[in-house]
Amino acid sequence: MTAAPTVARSPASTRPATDGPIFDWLFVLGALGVIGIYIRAIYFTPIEATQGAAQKIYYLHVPAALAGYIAVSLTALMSIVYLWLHDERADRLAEAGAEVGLVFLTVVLTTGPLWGREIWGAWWAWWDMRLTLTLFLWFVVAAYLVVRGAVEDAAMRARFSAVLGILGALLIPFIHLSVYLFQARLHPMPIVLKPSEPSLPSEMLTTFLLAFVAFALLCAAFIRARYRVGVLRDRAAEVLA
Amino acid sequence: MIAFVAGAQAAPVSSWGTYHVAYTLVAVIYCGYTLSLWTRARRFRRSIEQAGVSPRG
Repeated sequence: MTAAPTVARSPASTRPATDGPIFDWLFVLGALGVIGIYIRAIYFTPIEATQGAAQKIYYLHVPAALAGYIAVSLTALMSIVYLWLHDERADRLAEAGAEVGLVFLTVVLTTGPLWGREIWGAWWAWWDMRLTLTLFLWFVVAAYLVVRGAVEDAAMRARFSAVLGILGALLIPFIHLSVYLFQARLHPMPIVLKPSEPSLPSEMLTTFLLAFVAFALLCAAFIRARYRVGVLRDRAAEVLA
Repeated sequence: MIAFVAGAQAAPVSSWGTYHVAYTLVAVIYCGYTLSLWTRARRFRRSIEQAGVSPRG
């Protein structure tokens, strides 16, 4: 392990191709999966008795949250790898995870209040820790990207943002456990991700699980595409320098 | 489930509007981000090509 705070350059032979399309079969698979989820949720999933059609937001809101957590966790993992190995590829992958994570968290914070207004009668409640901590995570990830845009020195930028990336991911377990930790809340207890059996009817559960797979695929495709954009950006910076 | 939380409203008969807005917004966000990635990639590729270098490196 080297202590020098420099960004290690990957050898040219291991650099990914940047002259091909940034979107590949994985993106097509993810996009088709999400389109399929739209169709299944609209036409082939029953309407919940008490909430009506608004409950179908669940099939976007929760899978987007899980995919966002995966993306932010990837950022933290790659940040640790970067701090350890000083490999620019880990830094670039961490950056890709953060940006894609921000997009998925934006979906969560957009669909959540719409759904909440319908079933809770309120767009937002600051005392619901899951809401507030998710917003806090959104700001931490946004700050991560702001830091990356503000610091010019590559090694310093990667190091500062890596610390933020790791700190941001520490919020994720608290967000998941917040419904257990705080009595005052609007969010329900988990109905799928819990030790006992899921409390959803089988048709709804199937739609939810398929939605999770589709959103995870789309998330992976976005991260791969964003990584390639990062390669192109760095290459452009190299040749223009 | 969720509807039984204190303060919850009765079953909304007209919640299709909310549902449509949410599904449309999500589609707009993902399409917008896809377009953003594609635009950036194209801009960087043009910069590299204008410098007379292969994008492959």
